Amino acid sequence: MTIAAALLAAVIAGPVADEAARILADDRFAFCHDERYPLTPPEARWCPPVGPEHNPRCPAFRRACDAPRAALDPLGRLGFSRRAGESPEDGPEEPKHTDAHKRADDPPAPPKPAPQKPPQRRDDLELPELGGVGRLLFWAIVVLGALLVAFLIFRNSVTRRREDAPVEPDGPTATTTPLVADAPPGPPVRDVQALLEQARAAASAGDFARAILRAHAALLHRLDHDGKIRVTPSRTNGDHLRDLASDPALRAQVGEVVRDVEQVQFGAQTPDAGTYERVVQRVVPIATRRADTLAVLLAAASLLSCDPPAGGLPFDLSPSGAQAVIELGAAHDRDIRFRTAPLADLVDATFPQRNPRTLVLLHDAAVDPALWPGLLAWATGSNHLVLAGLPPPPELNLSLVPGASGHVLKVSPDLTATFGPLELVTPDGAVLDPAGADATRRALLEYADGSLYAAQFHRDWQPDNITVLADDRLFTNGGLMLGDNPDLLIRLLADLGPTDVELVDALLGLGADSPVDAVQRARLTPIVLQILALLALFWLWRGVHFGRPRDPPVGSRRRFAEHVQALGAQYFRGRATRHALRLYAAWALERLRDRTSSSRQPGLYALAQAIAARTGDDEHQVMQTLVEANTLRDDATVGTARPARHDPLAAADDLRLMQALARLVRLVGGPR
Amino acid sequence: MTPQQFAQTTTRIRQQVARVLLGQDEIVDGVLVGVLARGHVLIEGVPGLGKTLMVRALARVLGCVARRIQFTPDLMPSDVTGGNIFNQQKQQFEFMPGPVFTQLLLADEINRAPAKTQAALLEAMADRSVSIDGVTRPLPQPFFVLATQNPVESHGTYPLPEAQLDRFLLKLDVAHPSREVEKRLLANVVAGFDAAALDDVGLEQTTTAADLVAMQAHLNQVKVADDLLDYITDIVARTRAHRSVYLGASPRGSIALLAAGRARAAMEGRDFVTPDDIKSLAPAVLRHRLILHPDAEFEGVSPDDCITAILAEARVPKTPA
Repeated sequence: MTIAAALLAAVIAGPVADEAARILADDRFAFCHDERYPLTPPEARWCPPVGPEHNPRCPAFRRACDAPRAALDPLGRLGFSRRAGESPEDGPEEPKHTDAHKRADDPPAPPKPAPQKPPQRRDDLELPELGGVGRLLFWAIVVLGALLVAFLIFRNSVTRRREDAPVEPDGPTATTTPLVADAPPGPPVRDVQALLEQARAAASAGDFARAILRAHAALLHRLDHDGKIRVTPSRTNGDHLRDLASDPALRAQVGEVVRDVEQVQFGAQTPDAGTYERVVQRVVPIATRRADTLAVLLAAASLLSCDPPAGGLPFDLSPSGAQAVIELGAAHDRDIRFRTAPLADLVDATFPQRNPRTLVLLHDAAVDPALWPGLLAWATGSNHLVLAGLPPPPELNLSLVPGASGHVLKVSPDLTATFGPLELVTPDGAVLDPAGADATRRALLEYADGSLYAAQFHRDWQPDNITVLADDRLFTNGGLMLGDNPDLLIRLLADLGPTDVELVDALLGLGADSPVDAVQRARLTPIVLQILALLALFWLWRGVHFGRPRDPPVGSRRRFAEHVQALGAQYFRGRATRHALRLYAAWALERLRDRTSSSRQPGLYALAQAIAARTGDDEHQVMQTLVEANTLRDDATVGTARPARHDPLAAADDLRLMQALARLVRLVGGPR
Repeated sequence: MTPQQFAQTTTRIRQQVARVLLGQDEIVDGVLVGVLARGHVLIEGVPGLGKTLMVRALARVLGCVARRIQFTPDLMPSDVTGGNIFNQQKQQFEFMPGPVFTQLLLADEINRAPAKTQAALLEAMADRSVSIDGVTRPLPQPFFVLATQNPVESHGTYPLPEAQLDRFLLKLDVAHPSREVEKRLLANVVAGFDAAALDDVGLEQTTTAADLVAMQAHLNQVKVADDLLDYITDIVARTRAHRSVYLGASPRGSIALLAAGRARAAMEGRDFVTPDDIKSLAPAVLRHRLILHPDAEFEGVSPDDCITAILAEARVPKTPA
């Protein structure tokens, strides 16, 4: 291994640093190009090692050290600035620049700005940009969905208006007999798939009549669910076909099914397998059409769901991110990625193990102490475990001591042949404190004072499968800015062996335990609640009703004339017009006498004279009218027996006489 | 005759009549149901909707003899049935058949004739024969009466008694045609169509009177499931229990519904009746057989409203709902 590593080191010595510089030269890594890039306090610790000298890999970082610091996002610990929130409680560490560090040609430092609120770095999670086709598809689906909802609401409102006429509640329910011979006992099944299953089961049992009826029911309920027809006990297949008038193709298909089904139901045809097959072949495509549409929609939706952009999310591009490390590893055949599966899967013997890999536990990785034995046992053979800034387990007899031993590290003499005379620059000065001598441990990186920064363990006669580092700065974007860090990173990974490298940070294991938890964490609870409320309202409006829908009773007042007309019509239908005329004639004669003051002179002649004098009418005609009215009034038999049949001519005469009397009453002063 | 041949024949009849009568397909279908079911049809509609034209076209297409009687208040029974007239040359009475001795008879505005004249026609409709001076003379076969009445003008009319209305198999309501249909009608007139000159149209005779009688006989072969008998019974029974109905349909109404359903099934090319045949024809069969309570009439309830409500309650046989 040593010879191979030495050869590898010789090959990659120069190009790795150039590769890191090329990656950091990308504008995505704004901390290398924006002189006002707001660094977080942990990131600002890189300022002293960087120093005042011009850094060709990250030219703007030195000036960014003078820019105001970024306030840590309160959610930083939850990963919205991945690994940026290492220790927010740590006070901001100002770069310890001195005048001696400044270059002579540096422009004079600008006056120190007044203290102001620290800028908030835009590490928010943003949705990735959709491509042209994806954007078109997205908006097409949104618009179609909106149109579909509007159409359903409109059609539903129209359908509701065409509800059946009000049903008389006191109908002869006693005469209603259950006529559904094929219906099983219990509530009717409306689930389409269940009905199709029943059809298949009945066909398997040789009961083709029942199978055909079940398939027919599945078809009707599918169309009912789709809102294309309305299935009620009082509607016929003809009603359903008429409902489908707007879709001639579907109507023709359903019509063919109906023809076969009615042959079985009401015709003389004996149901057989051929008929059943014919019905099912027509029913299934219609009954499953919506499922096909749903599948297409899901497939289309899957096109819209995209992975994080290849260029990295904002928090991955910060100095404390790892995007540059990942790209550097990719340039050297190392597949570096953040682990998403729980650590427990590694130690679970029943879980299928994948390719050998290097597992890097960063400083904020949450490891259940109970898992340590399993993890250490896992790090055998081709698997490697790297603890970067994470307190090691007691089995390794090491402890982390935050210190200030310096920033420059060197490869221990024992491994110089393997890694070369490389220098590592780190900002924190953390050291590993061995609790005692350990024959399985050997130093990998040391400070100038001999304090230990990194060590490797070979346990149980296995190769070096466990590496412990005092911090994880080597696996950050910022770590690639200085010294031989890129070379050391690549050589270390190459020395470990596996091409798959998994980083574990605080986000692992923070996934939601339930959909509700996921919604809460995504801060979608208000939106989801509003959608549910909307659905509830929609359900209340269109959903299953508890009784037969009825139009609200419309209170209407009829005009008095309508009542009079209705009463007259009733008299007419009751063949009692003469009776009504007799009553009116008696009343009219009384009124005429009162108005003409002729009560002192009894007799119709005097009354006729008075009326004729008042109205100017012909005395003879008035007398004729009065005589007819008086005759009717005095005839006790009138109205007591209804004629055998309608006599329209007689009724017309009665109406004429009544109108003549009414005219006289009106001319002599009205009814009052 | 197979069901398919039956359907093809009725389709040709419809097509031929539709050449001169636009937008009245449902009325033509109803009339055909009446003809095939050996019933008679009462059409209620305002004048000018093509009732006479339909009868003339139908007679020509069916190969039957058609006559028309305009009912007036002074029309006498003998003007309908005919009577014995003294032949001075032979010195004996001879029977002069009236217009009722035909195959298709249009009784126009039947409610304008007195009850006695109405009764003479209605008895001929029921018995398909005329008895005069003790001699019964059968009417030609087939015999079909299409009576009309105007729902608007009620003065000087003699409304048909309920018992006589019951003799009509169907009562059809004719409405004004739609604007599109009326425009097509005008276009036909512009193109030279003259309703008085049907010969110029070239209507094709599709059947003969004998064929029609055979088709009527064929209806007896149309199967009616037992469930459908229950359905018919249920509907008719509900008319008798409906709160707005004073007098419901009689058993003759049930028989009429069954016969009409069979005719419709045969016209559709089926040898069996479906619930839709019954349900779709129930309004036409039952609307003139219901007498409503006066208060229901005051509230504006019509027989059709009652029938619609009844059909919305009656459970259709073998429905999956």
